[in-house]
Amino acid sequence: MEGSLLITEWAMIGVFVVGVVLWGMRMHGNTTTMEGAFLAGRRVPGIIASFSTVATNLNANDFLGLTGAVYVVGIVMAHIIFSNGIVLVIVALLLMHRLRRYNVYSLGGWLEKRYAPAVGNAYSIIWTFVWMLFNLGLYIYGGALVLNTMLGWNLYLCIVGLSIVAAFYTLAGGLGAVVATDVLQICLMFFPLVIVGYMALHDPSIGGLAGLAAKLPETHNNLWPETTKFGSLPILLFGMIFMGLSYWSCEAQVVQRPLCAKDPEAASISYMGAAVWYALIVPFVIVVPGLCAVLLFPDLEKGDYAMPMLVHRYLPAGLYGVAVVGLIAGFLSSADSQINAFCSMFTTDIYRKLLVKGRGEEHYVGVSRVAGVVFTLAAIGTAWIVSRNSDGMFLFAVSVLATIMPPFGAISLLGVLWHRATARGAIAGLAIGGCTAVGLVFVAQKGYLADIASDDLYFRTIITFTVTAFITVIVSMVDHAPPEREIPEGDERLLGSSPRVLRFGAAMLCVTVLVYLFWTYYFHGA
Amino acid sequence: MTDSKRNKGLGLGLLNGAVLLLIGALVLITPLLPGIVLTAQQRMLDNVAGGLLLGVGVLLLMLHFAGRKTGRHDSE
Repeated sequence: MEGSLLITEWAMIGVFVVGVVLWGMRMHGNTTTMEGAFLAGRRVPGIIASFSTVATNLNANDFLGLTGAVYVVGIVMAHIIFSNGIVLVIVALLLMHRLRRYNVYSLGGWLEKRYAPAVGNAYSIIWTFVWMLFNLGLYIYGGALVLNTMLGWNLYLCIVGLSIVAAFYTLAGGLGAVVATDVLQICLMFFPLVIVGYMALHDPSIGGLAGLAAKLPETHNNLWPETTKFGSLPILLFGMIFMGLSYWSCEAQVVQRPLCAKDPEAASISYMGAAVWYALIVPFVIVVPGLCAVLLFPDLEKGDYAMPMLVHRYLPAGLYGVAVVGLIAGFLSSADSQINAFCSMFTTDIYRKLLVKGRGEEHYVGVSRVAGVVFTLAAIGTAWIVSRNSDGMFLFAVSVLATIMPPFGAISLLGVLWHRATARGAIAGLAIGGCTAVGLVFVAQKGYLADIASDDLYFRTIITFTVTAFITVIVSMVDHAPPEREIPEGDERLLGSSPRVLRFGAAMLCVTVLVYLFWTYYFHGA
Repeated sequence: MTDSKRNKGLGLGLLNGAVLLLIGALVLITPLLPGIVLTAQQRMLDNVAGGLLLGVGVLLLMLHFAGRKTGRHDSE
């Protein structure tokens, strides 16, 4: 599967890497203040922020891993992508414009203002020191593994090289450089994959969507099977919805996009624009290639090889180099966001608030750069550990994700939907929800959940989210009513967005329903 | 230096335009390299894709420099 590169393809990689590094240096002048460094001066247009949201969320692992999952499991995996069309609109209308109105640097800042400092601190500390370090290590390892698999490059040199490039332009140019390069990266990621999807679908042995659906085995061509490896269909669907709500509400690097938007309306658009990508474009570059590979390469050793095989088959010399650049872009677009989000949260939510107060902006920006370097070095270490035990670590990462996100997702959305929710309720909800999630991990390890699902990820998410919300409501009801707090203009309305944004949201929900109907028409298992 | 002078726009047109133009040109050049054997369909694919990247790159650069003349940042 390994392919060598031509001199022009090496030059493409050089042009891209030099371009993003120069951009980091060019944007350096915008990073003298914390808002400039961490949130691009809060002046990013909504549509650009939406491109950046997609680039941040999708990375090389998704293009290989999710395509591989579709290859192995079938069209049912597409629910992960389609459900984002609904979830992103809900989170955009309920939460994101609100976060932007408060001018905070992270979700932790909003949780502090909505509930209490303890709730915000809990979020910031868990994300900064547990999840982000581990997650960046996984990104680095995943990106390096892709290049190692496709091109035969040394895994550890890739880990170090990619990390240095990502850290350099991120720390030099701040979020402005990250957002600007994200737009370039999304073009380079999607362009070759759109061609691969089109060529695969129109291969004479496939015969378009109708031919694909007719030729696929029954295990792969039903969007609505009764049971899946994640449990029954309702568990899969509700689990994905709850996981999506938690992820898009809480994941620090994606939440930075609405926060850097120029106004609350642009903040909502940053998420709803991403919903358009997920509903309309991503299925054709991830789901279609994965399904086509089932027919074209039925005996692959691993599902993750599906996309590289398709790239080799359909992209000629020249375009192949663009695909390699796209995979490098896929890594950088996620890693840079993670590094910037860490710098932002560590400096504003932990260092400035808990450790050293009252210093000038230059001091804090300088500290964030040092912290960013240390964080990247630590993440390289994490990537090295992951490379020694990749299977166990990936499972561990998924468990951590399903443990920490649903409790914070539940209290964030409850904080918006129910003004009576109190700080004590949120703390109790977090504590008992977190314990429930950890408890379910042990119960699953003992095999007690085997009858429900072979992979209990979504079952755990549903239970954890529900328990957290339930405990928060019960404790809040017996607690004193929360004191009156100052709220910014527009925050008192539930949806709080302009009519234009509400129309966009309604249209997007209709589009998502049409997308479901379209794919169900072809893939209904008959 | 004032903030308005120090702060630059995101420069999306310049960055994207320059990189896409160069990568597009490299895609177009690749079939001409000695020793490269491509089918007619593969050659056409390279030409179309390379031309598209190069064209979009030129367009973005033109938009960027037109925006500079009128004093508007292309990200604002």
